[in-house]
Amino acid sequence: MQRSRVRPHPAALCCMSFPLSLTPFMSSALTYLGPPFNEKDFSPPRPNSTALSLPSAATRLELWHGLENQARLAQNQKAYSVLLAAVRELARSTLCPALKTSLLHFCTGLDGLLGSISALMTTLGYALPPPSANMEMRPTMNDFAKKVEGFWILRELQSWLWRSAKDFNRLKKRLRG
Amino acid sequence: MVLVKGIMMILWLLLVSLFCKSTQDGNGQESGVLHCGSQNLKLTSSGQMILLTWEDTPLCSAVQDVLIYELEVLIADNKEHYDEVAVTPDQIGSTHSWNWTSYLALECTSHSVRLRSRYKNYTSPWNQETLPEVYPKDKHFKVGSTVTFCCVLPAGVVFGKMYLYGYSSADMNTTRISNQTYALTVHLNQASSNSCTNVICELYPSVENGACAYIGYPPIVTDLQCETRDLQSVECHWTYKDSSLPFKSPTEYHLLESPTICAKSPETSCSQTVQVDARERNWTLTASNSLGEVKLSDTADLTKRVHMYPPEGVTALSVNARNVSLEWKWTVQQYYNLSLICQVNINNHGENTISEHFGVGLNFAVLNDLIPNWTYNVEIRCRTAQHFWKWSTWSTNVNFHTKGDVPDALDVWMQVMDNQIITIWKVPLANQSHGHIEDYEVTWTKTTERERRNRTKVAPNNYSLALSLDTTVEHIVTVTARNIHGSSSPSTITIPSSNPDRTRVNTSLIIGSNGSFNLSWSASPTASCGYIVDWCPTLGKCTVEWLKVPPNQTNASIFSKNFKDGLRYTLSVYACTQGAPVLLQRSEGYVGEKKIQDGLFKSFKGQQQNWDYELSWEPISLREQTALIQGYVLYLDDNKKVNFSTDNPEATSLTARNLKIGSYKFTVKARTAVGECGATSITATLNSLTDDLIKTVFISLATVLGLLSLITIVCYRHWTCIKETVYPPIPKPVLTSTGEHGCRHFQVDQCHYSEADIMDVPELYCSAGAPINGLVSQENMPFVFSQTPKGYYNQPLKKYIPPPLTLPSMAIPSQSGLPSSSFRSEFPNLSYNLIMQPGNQQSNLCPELQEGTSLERSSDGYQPHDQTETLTTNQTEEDPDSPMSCVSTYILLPQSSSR
Repeated sequence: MQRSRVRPHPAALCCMSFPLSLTPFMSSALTYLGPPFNEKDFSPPRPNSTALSLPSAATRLELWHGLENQARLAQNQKAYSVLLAAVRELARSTLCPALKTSLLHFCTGLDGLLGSISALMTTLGYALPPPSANMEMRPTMNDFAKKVEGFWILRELQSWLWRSAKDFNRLKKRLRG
Repeated sequence: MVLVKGIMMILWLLLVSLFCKSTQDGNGQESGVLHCGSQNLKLTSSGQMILLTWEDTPLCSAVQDVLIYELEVLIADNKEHYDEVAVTPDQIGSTHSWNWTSYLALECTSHSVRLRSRYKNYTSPWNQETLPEVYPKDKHFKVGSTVTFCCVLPAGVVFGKMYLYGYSSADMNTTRISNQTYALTVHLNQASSNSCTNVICELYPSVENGACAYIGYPPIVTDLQCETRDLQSVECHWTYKDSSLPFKSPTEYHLLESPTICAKSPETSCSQTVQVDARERNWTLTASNSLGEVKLSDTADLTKRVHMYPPEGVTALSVNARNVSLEWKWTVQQYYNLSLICQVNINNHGENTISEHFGVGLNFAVLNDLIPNWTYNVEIRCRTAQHFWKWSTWSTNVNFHTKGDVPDALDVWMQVMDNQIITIWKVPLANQSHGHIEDYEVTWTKTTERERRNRTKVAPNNYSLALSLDTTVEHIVTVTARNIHGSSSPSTITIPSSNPDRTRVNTSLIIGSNGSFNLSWSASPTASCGYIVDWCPTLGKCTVEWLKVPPNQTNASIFSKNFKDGLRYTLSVYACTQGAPVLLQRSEGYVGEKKIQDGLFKSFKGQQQNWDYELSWEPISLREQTALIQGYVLYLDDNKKVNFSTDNPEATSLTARNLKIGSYKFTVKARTAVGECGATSITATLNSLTDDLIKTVFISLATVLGLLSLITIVCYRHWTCIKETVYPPIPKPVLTSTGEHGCRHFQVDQCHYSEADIMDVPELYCSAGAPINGLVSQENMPFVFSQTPKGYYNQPLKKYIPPPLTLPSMAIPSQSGLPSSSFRSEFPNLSYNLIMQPGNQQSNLCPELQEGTSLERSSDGYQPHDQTETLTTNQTEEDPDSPMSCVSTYILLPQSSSR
């Protein structure tokens, strides 16, 4: 992997310590969706909707590690920008006020993370990826389909958070080294 | 053989050529394009629109021209619609989408879409997707209704099951309508929770679809109550029960049959402008949601239901030391015309006081009796004076700080200590000092000389002053505190003269509880200004604390943060008089008793008294007592209680009675309210009284023996002196002799005998037993008593041995108690030495006295040598056959010079 000569801004590095955790409201969100969504082995087909048009977090590990810093950061940036829009939409359509508050609070953290990734990429001299598709173009979905989509948004979010936490720790070590 | 080989070669060449051809074809661009097609088809719906998304297969990347996708819509397996989608080379690799709106509701029958690619002359096979759906979607149902849901299956999919979560199979019934349609009839008996209820249709292989069902109730609204706040509108409140359709289909509220929505759930109040007049009216609220509608009404005269808004803009005007004026405004002008009651809540460091104020359009209040130099926090609420309905909410809080003032009078007391009078006063609290204390001034004078005042200043951080006063007369001490605003009014105390009679009161005991003393006393007519209770630890120096009690009160609960458990306190009650305080009573006690530590008893010792054992100790000092001692208990071994105890706390001994011989461990404990404690032990052994007697006798004997020995030694060592004192020297007789020695005059001790002369001295020889053969039995020990002047010690005779003399009876000097065992005794004598030797040593060697019979026979037969004596034994009495034969002869002894 090519090491950048540019040192990132300390603030950007600081933000790379991963502050987000999905656990607090993951279970309440699944409870809100109701059974079978909160059952352990339930896995409905992943809808091919705009809300889920994000890079998959399921790329094989060796392939993922083989990518350059820039490519990985770009994928992170793209994934979180899509997920942020999706979680906002999820919050908007949620009928439970407490869950809505939790989701919107999480969006704030996600927005901060996205800003940190952008700042890091800019500091390292990487070009930012183009903004993701406009969510308002989505066709109307029935409530059950929205639940399935919400389920997958949460699942993708969880996968990305796990991956990013490892990525950023690795990146931090490399940049500090 | 050659032919076979030729054929094989040809076949091999053919195979190689085929392989090369196929390889060339496989790598050819045109071949790849022909296999280009669609993948990952997803068919979804929205309303009556169906939406298809798909991707290109990887081989499509080789396409360099427009790629056409052909789409066919099948409704109930009949072709209904055909369409084409053109994909340019730059769109290859992205996800493509297409939609179409059916003229039929999708619930009516199955809708499928099939898709294939066409490039130049090549057309891919069809790729078909059917819309799997559950109907109806997102509908609202009332709890208690029976509903049928249906599931439409795509082609090639097997129906699994259809169900609602949370419902048992008894409530559900699944039926097959056609090959591709199944229905589920369910009795809805529970409302949806959180979100909609999921209706699931499970299909194989692994396709799941579902629908949302909102199951709930029509609006449930109760407790409608209407009022007015501004006298221009009605405001109604109600309580609302969750209908389980909270936001998807919110309940809408209409007031007074108005078509305008007044509120939506979850709101529970709304208002509407009305003409407020003094008459009763019905106030109607209509609540409706997708499942139904309810109406409620409340009858009220709104002029009697005025719920005021709180005062606005509360401010503190003209803040003084002890009063303040508050003002506020009303946002509703009509309030200025109403008769109002307002409450001012005065918060004084957490302590709330409420004052009420009345008036028409009341918008100010004056607060009195405030503490100078003090911060207050106030809030105000109001209501109409007539037809009380509700208080307004509290206004916002307002803080103000009063101006300073002179300090309050000090609380002064006195303490007599080491011939000094200590005037002491309590530290003025912040609400008493009214500003920073700069100093204290103390003046004092004799009561008889009031005009001559002594004066001194005390620093602000000191709160007492020690004065060396003449204690035989009364003094008046006055203390004032001074701050920037001036001096406090003086506090005076009269120091009594030290007349011992005045302070003589009995001290009683008091028991504390819960960290305090509850003290009571008899009322005293002299207590014109009340009572003073002061307290201090009984021992050691202390700073006295006190409490002043009003005259009508004769009890007090004494508490101090300085109180400690296990410490003895003295509490004194004084009568406050116009003159010096008078001591009324004194008590001692513990605010909380603590167990006394072990080893309480000092100089702990015991003494046996016959069969009793008395244990004694030093009187116990108060310092050792961390609890009130009520008595003492004596334990013997293993805490086995014995009835040896006393209830006298002054006791210094306990006696264990009627004990037996043995070793005991005596433990004495003090009895207190917190149990027995302060254990001190001693181990002792009780001896027999006989043992003591024997011991006493032995000791006495040993003492006597010792004394005798001492006397003997002394006598022996000073024998000469004693002898000369007791027996003075007697002049020696002068002998006139014409003997063969030719000595005319000579002294006995100067006359030397030759050995031969000595040999002439006859000896008494006594033999017994078998003297003939010279053997003497041990029992019949022969003794030789010989006269041995000048060192002659009965040596064996060698020169001449006369024939033995046999005595019929003993003629030897006998001493009573002479032991029969063999021993040698020498008694020095100037005139002769008596040497006693066991006969057996010499029986065969020298002439000796052989004792043939018992010594009794000769006990009185031997006389010392004051005379020559002939012992004659009647021979006839002698048994001729007796082995003992004694021959008596003369024994000539020189006269002792001492005699």
